[in-house]
Amino acid sequence: MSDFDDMVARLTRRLRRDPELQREISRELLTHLEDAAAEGLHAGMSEDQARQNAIESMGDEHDVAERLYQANRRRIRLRQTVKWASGLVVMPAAGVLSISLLWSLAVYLAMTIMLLGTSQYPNSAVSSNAMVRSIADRAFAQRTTPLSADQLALLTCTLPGRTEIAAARRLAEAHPGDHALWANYAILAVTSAGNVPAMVRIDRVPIQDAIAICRQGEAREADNALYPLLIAYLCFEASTRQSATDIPAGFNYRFMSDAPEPATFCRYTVTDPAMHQQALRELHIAAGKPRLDTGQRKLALRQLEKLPPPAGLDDVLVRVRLEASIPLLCIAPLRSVLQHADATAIDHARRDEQTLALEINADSLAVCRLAARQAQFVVELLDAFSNFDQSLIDKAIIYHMLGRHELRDATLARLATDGDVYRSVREKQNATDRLRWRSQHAGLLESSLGGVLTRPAEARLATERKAEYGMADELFVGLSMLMLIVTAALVGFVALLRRLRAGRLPSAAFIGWRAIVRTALISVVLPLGLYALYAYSPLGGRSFNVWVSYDRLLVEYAVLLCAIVVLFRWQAGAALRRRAAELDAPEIAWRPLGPQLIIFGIVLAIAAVVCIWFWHYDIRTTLPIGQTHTLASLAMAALLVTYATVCAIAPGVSPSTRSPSPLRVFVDVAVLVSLATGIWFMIAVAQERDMWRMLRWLPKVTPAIAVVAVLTAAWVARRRSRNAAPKIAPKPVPVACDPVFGRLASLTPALAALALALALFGALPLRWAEARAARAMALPADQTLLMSEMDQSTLLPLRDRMQ
Amino acid sequence: MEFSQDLIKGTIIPAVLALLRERSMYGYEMVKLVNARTNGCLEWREGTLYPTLHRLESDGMISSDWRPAPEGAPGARLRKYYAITRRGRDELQRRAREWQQFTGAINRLLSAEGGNP
Repeated sequence: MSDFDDMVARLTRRLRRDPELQREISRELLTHLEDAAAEGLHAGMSEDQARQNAIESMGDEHDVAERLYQANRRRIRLRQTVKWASGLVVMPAAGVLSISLLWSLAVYLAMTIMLLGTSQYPNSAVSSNAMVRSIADRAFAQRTTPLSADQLALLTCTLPGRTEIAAARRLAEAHPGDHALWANYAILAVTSAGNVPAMVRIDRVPIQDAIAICRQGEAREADNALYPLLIAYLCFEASTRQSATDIPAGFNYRFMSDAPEPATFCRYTVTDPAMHQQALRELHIAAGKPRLDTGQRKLALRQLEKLPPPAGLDDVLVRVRLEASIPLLCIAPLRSVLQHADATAIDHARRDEQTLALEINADSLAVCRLAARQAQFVVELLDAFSNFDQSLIDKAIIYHMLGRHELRDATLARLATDGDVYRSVREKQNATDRLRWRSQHAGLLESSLGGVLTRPAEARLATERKAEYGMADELFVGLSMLMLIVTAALVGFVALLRRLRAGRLPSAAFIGWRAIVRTALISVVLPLGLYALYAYSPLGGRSFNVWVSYDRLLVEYAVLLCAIVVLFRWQAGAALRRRAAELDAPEIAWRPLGPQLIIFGIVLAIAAVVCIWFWHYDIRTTLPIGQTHTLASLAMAALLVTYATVCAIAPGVSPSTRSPSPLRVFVDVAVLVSLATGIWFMIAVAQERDMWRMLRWLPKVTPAIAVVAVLTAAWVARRRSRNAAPKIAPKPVPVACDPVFGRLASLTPALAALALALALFGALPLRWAEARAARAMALPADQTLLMSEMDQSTLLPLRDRMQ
Repeated sequence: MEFSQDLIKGTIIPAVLALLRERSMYGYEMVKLVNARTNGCLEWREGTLYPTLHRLESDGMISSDWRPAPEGAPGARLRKYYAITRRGRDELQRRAREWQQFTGAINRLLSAEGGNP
């Protein structure tokens, strides 16, 4: 160490709490001393004399050291505070926003699963899928927090459970004139008692309680068949046992399918004749009532009114969760009553008790008609009709056992005709539901799932397509942020390890706040902003009725990622080099990547061949375009991402290294890739507008152009970087510096800023997209199950058949 | 004639700002320029100048950046150049007015006692 270094080290010792500042001031003082010494030499002094003069001109060492510390004390504190605050605030903020975005992603997936359910009713997945159910429950708890106790009770009183029954009871007793509330209380009490058969048989108290509740309801609504039916359900459940042994009835019948089905029935054992008789009496009473009103539709509408307007997909899930519980709760006991009644009638027929058998069967048919007449949900009507036909089958079994074959055949003939009507209604219903739900709201999913869903020819996918893309953007941003946060954590971990191994505080280069802001603006905000402009302008085509959209998004995201990575590497690298030069610190010596580049080229070539082969294969055959299109896009996206990765780590290819014109290489690549994406999109539009045949030759060329362009750009960049002379010559430095830690630590704030910028980008505008999707999806979700909103011409033939 | 160090320290801030008002400079250049313009009467110590520069930069009156030295210049390859900011110009005006009022007052005081200034 020279005399200058010794002196500067003594002058700046008190600044060691900020190693970078200490290094900068040391560098400045050394520069001054070197200039002063050079001036002395120029004036004719000897070297020793010139250096001595330079040292003396500094003045008293202790005084200068104290002044330097006092002058920079505020900067040291400010920098330490900012570093501490950025570590404390920026990363956790980005993490919180990431979690928020990922939660939205989970909700979106839940909605997706719900939409793709196999049932004709979109809400079935809420009941059957654990993930959807838990998310819906959580959303329900969050949405109902601000409600008053009465409002909350109204919302939860239709759900089965001990606390919910208590809430239903409080509500019913508080509003004695509200028949719907009492009917709901009775349904909940009866279903909860009937669902525990072991307890029912040991202790009859719950049954007697439930029957008492039904009797009170009957007193309030004497003309409603609901209460006798609920009592019949309890009595049937408590007094009988069914075994699975089937006894062939000796004939086949045809209902919905053309294939003949054998008529079968279960072995039926009565364990409590008195209660069983009571059940039959209640059934007969119910059959004589003028109406059957479960009150569920009134409650459903009132519950939906209590919920705030849908602002997000959570709200849609909450509504669907409510709907899933309302009509299905009452259907199960009514269906059970009819099954018990028909089984009892068949049992009587086996004992040649013709009159009893036909009377009971007539009662069950009458109850089916009542249920159909008063049905207010689609599911109620379909269930009533299904039960009606099951009763017809049982009636045919009764006639068969009694030997009255002409009546049996007449009943079977009607059954076959009913089955045809029911099948046509069901098919139309399914087609309507699936078409509406899957085509309007699952466009991206449809294209990503390929053959899983079939696209109806008349489906228009333009509806709410922008919102759907917003969801995809949210997914992309969420995952990108996760990657960034993990990267930043790894960087910090590696830096910590190095610090522990070295046993000292290594010097860390700080590229400066202005450089961080510039890097974040140019490498993140600028490409994201441009992409947002493109995506939400008509140029992006997100509101077009383009089918293959998933793979196009993939290419767009790949291009965006490339742009971000290359720009980030370029800006951060330039800032680091600049700072390293200021501090006279060594630059990292990147290893050349000759063999890796060769492997990269081979991978590119293979991918290009795969791309072109798939396009050829697609054109030569009649396979659906979507699958091959997706594979080709995946291959292209893989190329782009691989290129960007190599750009980030390899100086031989990267336009961010010391090539003479890095911006030009980058622009070349970006323009070519954008061109390829644009052509790709044009192909998709042409396909949508049935111009595919005219543009068949384009897909052959597009991937090839893109791949050749990327290869050429990489080759040119490598040639240029080999020929280019470094702008800043490396120079030995007096103070040892840990370059890896310095570089990593310098990138950490930039990474944090990047994560935060992405988080803000994802969190703010994309919420709008989610709200838009929610508004679009909530209206059908509210109305899907309600009869009044359905196509009456589709469903009314069912009622007519039953009259 | 040499001035006392207390007097030099009291005037170094307006002097630095006045120099930087002309153009951007690095520390050694300022020292040389002041010595040349004052014929060595106002000899700055580097130990006084650099803390002052850092304090002024910390206060936002001057800014700095590292630039390569001109071709053929002796000494270091990169130098830290300082430039005056808008806030620094305002401060310089205020200090100049204050200095004129101060020297005017001292001059009047000295004249009133009958001595020759």
